[in-house]
Amino acid sequence: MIGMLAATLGLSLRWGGPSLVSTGIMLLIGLPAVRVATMAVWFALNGDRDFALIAAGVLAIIVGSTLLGIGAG
Amino acid sequence: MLATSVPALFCISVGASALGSALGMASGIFIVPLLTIVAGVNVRLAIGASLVSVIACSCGSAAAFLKQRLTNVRLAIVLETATTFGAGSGVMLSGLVPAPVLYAIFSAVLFVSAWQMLTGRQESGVAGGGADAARGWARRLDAVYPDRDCGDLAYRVDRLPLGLGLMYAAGLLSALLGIGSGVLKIPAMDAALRLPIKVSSATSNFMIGVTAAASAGAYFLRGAIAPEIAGPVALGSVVGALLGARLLAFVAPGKLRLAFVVILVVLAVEMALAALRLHAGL
Repeated sequence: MIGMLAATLGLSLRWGGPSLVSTGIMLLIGLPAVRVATMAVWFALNGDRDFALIAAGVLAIIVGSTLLGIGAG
Repeated sequence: MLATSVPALFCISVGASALGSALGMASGIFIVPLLTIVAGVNVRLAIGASLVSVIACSCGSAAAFLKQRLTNVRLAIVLETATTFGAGSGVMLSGLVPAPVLYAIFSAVLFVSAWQMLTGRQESGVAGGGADAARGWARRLDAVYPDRDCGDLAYRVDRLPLGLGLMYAAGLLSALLGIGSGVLKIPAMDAALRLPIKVSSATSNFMIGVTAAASAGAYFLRGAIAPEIAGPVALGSVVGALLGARLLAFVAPGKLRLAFVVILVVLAVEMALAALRLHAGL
């Protein structure tokens, strides 16, 4: 999974310090997005459709700003 | 660069994070100035490293606040629509804003933070204005929090549109400067939404990681987050946050507050001077 993510993002996953730190940072940055996705599922399972949709919207904004932000730098 | 070895970066971020967390602030407000002024790190790399440290600190402490039932998760997800949108706007602008302007904005934020700390944070009261019927959907954000003396206390969320506007600005500042932007979130939650202090602290802490992630992903993929800088800074800020919480037990809060105001003003002046030096091409 980590290897796939890293490969998708063009990172080399050699068992070396810098690439290991890069992978760790990438996973750390992804953690809040996972938290929002979990919240969306949790709200949906509890029948709280409005908040599930809001959480999904927040997730979409995170993904969108990441993708749009790459080109803006 | 002056002091960019891993131990030096680690020590700087431990100090910055301990300073921040001792007064309930995010570490970014100290990390970016210290990395740029003391370690001589490029301001854009310092901002990227600081965003990673903000995420690390938020992830580290969010579970404790959730367990204590202080975090209003529904309110957090609603406000995150504004902060992440603001962060997205900040990412778009970040490549366009020249470095001297970033230094100048940071200097202004430090001065405002010093002023906020000097005047102190006051409980704004639980009761709010407006009839329940007129508040409509916002009523679903009302909740209770545990109080040591009184048991569960109910509170209501007021003036949501104003809070969302301030949160957008907070997200924008977070992405531009690499900070948790408590300087705007605290007035937004205390004054606009009229939340109890404990709830606003816990909810803000829960939110800052998500806000930072909205911009950190783009910074990382752009190559503006250097692992050799962000790694030790993130680790150091988590250690510093733990130390800072214990620092309060040994130092009188009044003296600590005054010392931090002096540090914030010194850093603000240094950042302003750096902006002028860069602008003049010195």
